Parts: sequence; C-alpha cells; structure tokens
Amino acid sequence: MTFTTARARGTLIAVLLFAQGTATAQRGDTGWDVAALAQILQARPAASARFSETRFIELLDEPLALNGILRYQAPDYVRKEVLAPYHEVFEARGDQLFHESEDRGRQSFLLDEHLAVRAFVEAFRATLGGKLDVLQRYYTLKLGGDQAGWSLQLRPLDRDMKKVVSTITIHGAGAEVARIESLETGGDLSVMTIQPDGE
Amino acid sequence: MSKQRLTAIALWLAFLASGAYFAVAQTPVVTDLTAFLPRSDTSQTHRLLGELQQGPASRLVLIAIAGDTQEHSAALSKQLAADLRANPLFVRIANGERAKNLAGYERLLRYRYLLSPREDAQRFTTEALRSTLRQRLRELASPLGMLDKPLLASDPTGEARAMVGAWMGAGGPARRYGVWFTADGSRALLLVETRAAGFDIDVQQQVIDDVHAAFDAARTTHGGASDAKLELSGPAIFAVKSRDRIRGEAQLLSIAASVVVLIILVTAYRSARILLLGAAPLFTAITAGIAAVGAVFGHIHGITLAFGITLLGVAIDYPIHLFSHLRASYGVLNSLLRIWPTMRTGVLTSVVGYLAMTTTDFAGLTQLGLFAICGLLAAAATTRWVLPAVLPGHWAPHAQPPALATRLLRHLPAARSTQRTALTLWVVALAVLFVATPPVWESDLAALSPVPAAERQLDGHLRSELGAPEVTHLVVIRDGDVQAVLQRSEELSRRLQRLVDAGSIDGFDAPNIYLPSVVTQQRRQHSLPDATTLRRALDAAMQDTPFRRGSFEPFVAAVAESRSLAPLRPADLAGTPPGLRLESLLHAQEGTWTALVLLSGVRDHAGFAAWFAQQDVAGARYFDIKTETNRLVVEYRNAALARLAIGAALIVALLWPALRNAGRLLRVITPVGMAIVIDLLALTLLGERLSLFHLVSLLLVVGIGLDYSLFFSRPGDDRDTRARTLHAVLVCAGSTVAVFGILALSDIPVLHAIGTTVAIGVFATLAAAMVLAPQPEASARNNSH
Repeated sequence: MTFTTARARGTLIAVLLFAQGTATAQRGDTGWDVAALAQILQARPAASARFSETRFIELLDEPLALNGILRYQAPDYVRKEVLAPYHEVFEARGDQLFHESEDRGRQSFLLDEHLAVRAFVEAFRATLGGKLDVLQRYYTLKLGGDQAGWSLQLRPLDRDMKKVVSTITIHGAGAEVARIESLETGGDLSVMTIQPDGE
Repeated sequence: MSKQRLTAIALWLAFLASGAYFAVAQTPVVTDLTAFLPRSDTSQTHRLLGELQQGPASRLVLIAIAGDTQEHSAALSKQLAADLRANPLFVRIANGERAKNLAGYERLLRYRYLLSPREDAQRFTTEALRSTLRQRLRELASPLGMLDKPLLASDPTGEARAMVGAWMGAGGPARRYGVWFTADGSRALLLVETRAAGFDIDVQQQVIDDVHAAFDAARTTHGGASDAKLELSGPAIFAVKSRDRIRGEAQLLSIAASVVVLIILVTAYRSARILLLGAAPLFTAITAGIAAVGAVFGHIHGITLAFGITLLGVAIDYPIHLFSHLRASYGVLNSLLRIWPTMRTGVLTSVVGYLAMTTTDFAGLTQLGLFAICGLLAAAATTRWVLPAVLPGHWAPHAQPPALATRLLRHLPAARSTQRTALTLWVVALAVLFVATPPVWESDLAALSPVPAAERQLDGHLRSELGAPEVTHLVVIRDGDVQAVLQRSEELSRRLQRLVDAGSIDGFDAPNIYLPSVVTQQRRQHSLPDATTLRRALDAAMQDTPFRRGSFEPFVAAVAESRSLAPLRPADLAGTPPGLRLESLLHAQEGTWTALVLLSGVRDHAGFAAWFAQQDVAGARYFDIKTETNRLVVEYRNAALARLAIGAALIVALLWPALRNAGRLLRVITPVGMAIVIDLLALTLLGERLSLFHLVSLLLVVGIGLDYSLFFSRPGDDRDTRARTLHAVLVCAGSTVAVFGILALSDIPVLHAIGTTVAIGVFATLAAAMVLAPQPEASARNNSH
C-alpha cells in the first residue's frame, strides 16, 4: 500500500458517483425493480466466494487490507472468514452470531442484542437471500442499473445505526454480488470486492 | 311508650349517630403494615424491617410482556418505557435499551478515570499501550469495530466501557431486538422503580392503572391486533392485589354468610321484627368498636377492622338468647332479666379475655382487643336496654318452646355413662394431641400471604431473569460520615469479591460500585500520568503501527484533565442511571448515612454469618431478612399465646365470684376446654400450621363456648326454659358454624384459618356442652345464675 487514504477515498467516491450516474441513466427499463432483483437472488440457494476488503480509516496513515472467504447458504447462514493478515471468523445462523478469533476463541451472541449488529448482518445475508421484507425493516432501498449491472443502496432507518453508517451500496450482475461499499458517518470507508470461486 | 323507654331509645340513637359520625369521618382506615409491627420496639432490626418495607426493594415493579412475537413485544416494551419515562410516578425505567441508557452516562464520561474500577497504573506504559493499540487495530478491521470507533480517539484503553460495565453488572438479561427478554425468549422484561413506597397502596394502585393504560395505548399504536399480555409483579403489586383479593373475597363471603344467617333466623323465629332487631346490637357493636379504636389510636388498621367484625360475630348471639327465652306470660323485660345474669357473665368473661390482648406491645393486637371489648359491651348493652324498649311489652315469637328443641331435649342430658365415655375420649384426644401429633406452628410469613403460590412463583422467575435484588440477605453499614460509609463499603466489597470468586456467594450490589469514596477517586487521580509522560509513552507505542501521529491527542487531554477534576460526591450523580441505583443503596436519615450491600445467592447462611462475624467492619451488620421476619412472627405469636393464658386465668378468676360453686365452675369450663383441645387436634389432623390468627380465633371460641355452657349449666331451669335455652344455643351455634364454615372455604390463608378454627371449635363446644349438661329441675325456680 503506497497511496494515501485521502487519495484512495477520492478515487472511490468518483467510482461511486459514476456507478450512481449509470444507474440513474438506465432507469425506466421495464420490469427492473427491487422485487425483480430479489427474485433473481432468491433463485440461488448457496454461494461461495473470495473477498478482498480495504478499509480507509481516518485514524490510520494507511488503509487496512484484509482477504478471506465468504459463504452463504439459504435460508439464513452466512460466514465471513478472514484469512489474512490474521485469522478471524464471523458466522451467523438464525438469531445467533458466532465470533472466532485467535485471542478470544469462539464466542456466541444473540443477533438482536444490538440492533446495529443485526442490521449489519442483514445487509449482507438478506441481500444474498433476496429477502426484501427483512431488508426494508432496517433500511430504505434504492435500486439502480439493470439486471446485467445493478447497484442497491441501503440507508439505515434506525437512529443509532445512522450514527455509525451513512450508506451501504451493493453492486452486482445478475445473481452475483461483485462489490460492497460501506460509507461510515465519520467519513471512513470500506470497500469489499468479491470474486466467485469454483465457477 | 313509657318515658324510660323513650329515653333508652333516644340515648341509643344519639350514641349510634355520634359513634357512626366519629367512625366514618374521624377514623381513617390505614393499611400500612408497620402498624402491625411492635409498638414500643426501637431495636435496629425492627427499624430496618420497617425501612426496607418502605425502601428501594419495595418500590420495584417487574413487568413482562408475553403472548406476542418477539419483534412486537420488543416494540411494545420500547413504547411502554418511553411513555412511563414521562410519568412522574416513576423514577427509573429499565428495559435494556442501550442507546438511551448511555445517553444518561454522557455527563459522567469525563469522570471515567475516577469512576472506572481499573486502577493499574501499568496500563499507561509504552508496553501496555502498544498491546492495547494492536488490539484496537484488530477491532477496527472487524465489522463490529465501527460501533466503538466514536470513542477510540479519546479513550483507546476502553475506560468508559469498563465504567459502564461495572454498573451494568456482569449478567443482565439477554437482549433481543434491543430490549431485555427472558432466557427462553417468551417475554420482554422491564424493571421500573416507583417514587412512592411499595405499601402506599393507593398510589401503587395508580401506578398499576398507569402501566396498564400506557400498555394499552402502545398496543393500539401497534395496530391493536396484538395478543400481547402484560404481567406485573413485585411487592407493591402484591400489596394492591392482596387488598383487592381480601376485600373482594370478604365481600362475597359476608354476603353468603348474611344470606345463611337470614335463612336460619327466618326458619327459627318466622318473624320480620327479629331480623331487624337482631341486627341492631351487631351494628351498634361495630360502630362502638371503630369509634373506640379511632378515639384511642386516631386511626383503625384495615386488618383490625376486617378481623374485628368477624370477632363480633358473637354479638348476634345476645339478641338470639333473648328472643328464644321470650315468654308472653313473663313479658319482655322479665324474660330478659331472668337470663341477664348469665348473659352478663358471658359478656364479662369474653371482655376479660380480650383485655389480656390489649396489653401486648403489638399495636395490631391492642387495636383488635379494644375493638372487640367495646363492641361486645355495646352489643350487650343494646340487648339489655334498647331491645326491651323497642319490643312490645308481652310479645314473644314462640308461645311454646320450639318442637325441635323439646324433642332434642328428651335425649339430653346424656346418661352418666355417656358423659363418662365423652370425658374418657377427651382425655385420650388430649394425650394423642400432645404426644403423637403436637400442633405445628407456622413461622414462615410467606405462608400467610394472600398472594397465590403461582403468582409468587412468577415473581421469583421474573426476579431471577432480571437479576433484580430480592432483599433477603444484606449488610447494613451506618455512620454519620458518608465518606466513611463508602470506604467501609469498598473494604467489604473487596472481601466479598473473594467469596464470589470462590463461588460461595453469587454476587453483591454495593453503593461504592456506583460511586467510589473520595479517597479512592483521589488515589486513581494520583496514579494517572501527566501529559508529557503519557504522550512520550504513547508516541513510542505508536511506532510500527498504522495509527496516524496525533490521533490520540484527545486521550492525552482527557487523562490530563482527569488529574485535576474535583472528585464526585453523591449529589453529583443525581439524575444519572448510576445515581438512581446509588440512591436506593445509600441514603441519609437524621444525620446518619446508611449503605445497603445486597447479597445474592447466599447458600450457606450460617457459614456466611460466621464469615461476616470475623470481618469486623465498623458499623456494619448482617441481616438475614427471612430469618428476622420469621423471628418477629414467632415473637408476635408468643405474645398472643401468653395473653391467651393470662386471659384464661382471668376468666376463671372472674367466673368464681359469679358462680360461687366449684361443681358448676367445672361444668362451665370443661366443655370449653374439651372444645379447644378437640379444635387443636382437628386442625393438626387437617394439616393446618397454627399461626397468630388461629390463636386469636381460639379466643373467640372460648368466648362463645363459655356463653353456651353458662346457659346450659344454669341450675334450677325447668324443661320449658331448658328447651328455650337449647333453641337459642342451636340458633347461635348454627349461624356461627355456617358463617365461619363459609369463611373456611376461602383461599386466603388468614380467612381460612379464622373460619376453620371457629367453625370446628364452636361445633365442638356445642357438642360438649350438650353432652355434659346437668339434669333439669322438675319445675321453674327463679334462680338464674
């Protein structure tokens, strides 16, 4: 990593704006709405992918880079395993969240202990499962693009969640999710790119 | 009507009117339970019990929302909490919502280095800071890390989290949808604290109404289709429910009892006049009783009133004796004068029995005794002077003695052999009672609670889920200086923590958890590094990390500021969440500060008491409330028992000059003694555990029993009079057994105890008095003793 946080952020915001622009331009195509997207996503019962994530944080001179494996299994299982630079696992099944790390071992939590935690997990899990009703409980949704290249923007509804996250944008093509961008309220940004494996 | 008659009626009406005015307008009915605590006792234990009854634990209301989905229940919980927070009746509403709770902590965040239990100065060294920063970096990378990020720059060592964590306690119920739920997820939980004391029943009724109203409003805003139910528990709820239950049940039972007595009286006399006049002595008695207690005490306790009225049940016997003995040929006044000496002896013996009761230290029993004495005297006086004035001079309900009584009398008295058999059986019963099945005393106050076991179980369940303190084991520390109290509480907490670590107790709650003493806060301040030292250590620790230089300047500034802050004192915490906890554990009264250290999960009571005795913390005392309360119950009961014995001795002493005949004294006392023993035996065999209420009921049995055997043992009565006496006693006993038998059906332990004891006792007295009655004389003589 040699480029600075500020430069990286500038680049990314430009990318985001561009994506929004394309989305708006292609609006009006018949039959493409959130329900149609949900239907496509629902048709996939399982997915597995490698991810690489870059987090741009105000307090840090350099962005943090992570990579690992994502897995989804319908109806309610998601797993994020960080392989580098250290090992850490997040796993959600039903109402339970499991966290496994080298120093703390495996711990389990109730997802609903904290609304923000539930909202984070659902941004990912409910999107992959095409569960619109669940997503709409925590976010207002805005869809752009078309089936070949779409972007779904989530804005939190909860007051406490708003204090932390400003938007989460998910980009994809068809049933594949390609990139997840989280813009935090303080200006920090996280970008996760996803490459499906085994296909 | 003669002038004398009119004077009697006018005097009675004037007495009744002024008594009724005084009873209704000048005698408030109080329901707070401290009135039933010892009157002149100043011991610390009793004062503490009184305080706890008014104290923080009594002000907690446990609320559960059940019967709907978790999501709906959580929404209802949030709405209900928001609504109740705006209600001045409540001082604290907790339902697990974190964000709103933390809002209250913001004011205290500045003081985190003084309030957090961490004291290790090593945590600010380069080495420790480096490892802390590495940990924070890891958290930043995790998706959950962003939740703590807002405080990272000013608090990298997580002092705020440590501070709030100590206040929240280690456990706490699990959260779902952001609010507390039971472990099985079936109910959303709230814990609220009311401003009023738990036994301020009228205000607590308002609290219950408000909670229900707020809940209904919340349900309506959520579409109204919710199946959610509200469940309330806690001492205040129990107090209100007990009052309602006792009131409701007493009303229902007294209506049933009145109907039965009415039927008995109609069957026995077939006269409307008697129904009307029979009630006059009873009403006069109740009025006199309330007015007398009001005049002496300034108020009457609800329990005295309810219980006293049942004790006056004997008052209806006086007019019945008169009605049965009325003979047209004698005239009303003469008929009355023939039985009056017997009736008078009966009244006086009862009065003497209750007189003993008034000499106890227990205000409740004293009131009860006074109420009964004045009531009985008023009832007897009404029968003696008012009824003859009101009744037509030669009126009588029966021209001849009633046929039933005459027929029954043919079989009475029993043959000598039967009497001997009865006495033998009695002696056997006596032996069995005191050898094989001695009476079992009830010393658990909870068993006397009118709250059904199922509701007490729900309370225990909610309490353990919420971790709400059940004040059964506690240490009280008192001193004139609040800082001394806090320092001792800190010292005790350190030692208690060792017991928790060793697993001998589950945990404890102490005021110093929410506010450390000034000395401790200053010690923490002195252990903080100055800005230069901290910055140097921090800079070194930040090398080889991606953290931007200067990112943690807010942290350096916060630590530097903390070194010169004025330590917090109790008043500074007012209005904050820990401040509310502190108020319930630390308070001042008349210049003395009292700290409560509440213990939970004390399994080995004796072991803990022994441990505590070795601790030697000045001004500290350990209380096992259940044991203390039960000891009080035993004291109360022993006082009643002693007075019962004194009463019995006084009764015998009074009977001797009235009867002047050892044989007759024996004939009067024996049936009553037999009845008491049979009553006790029957109660024991029924599995009843004897309480204070059984004992006081026995006094009523003694009074009624003496009345019966005094009438039965009158020497020189002819067959006609004997038949009339038998008729009167049958009507009296029939109505008494019916009334108290109905009372015995009650689920409320106290009413059940009174009902069972009196019904069995009176029946046993009747049987014994009838079996042991002497032979009647051949012709009438004017010997009425």
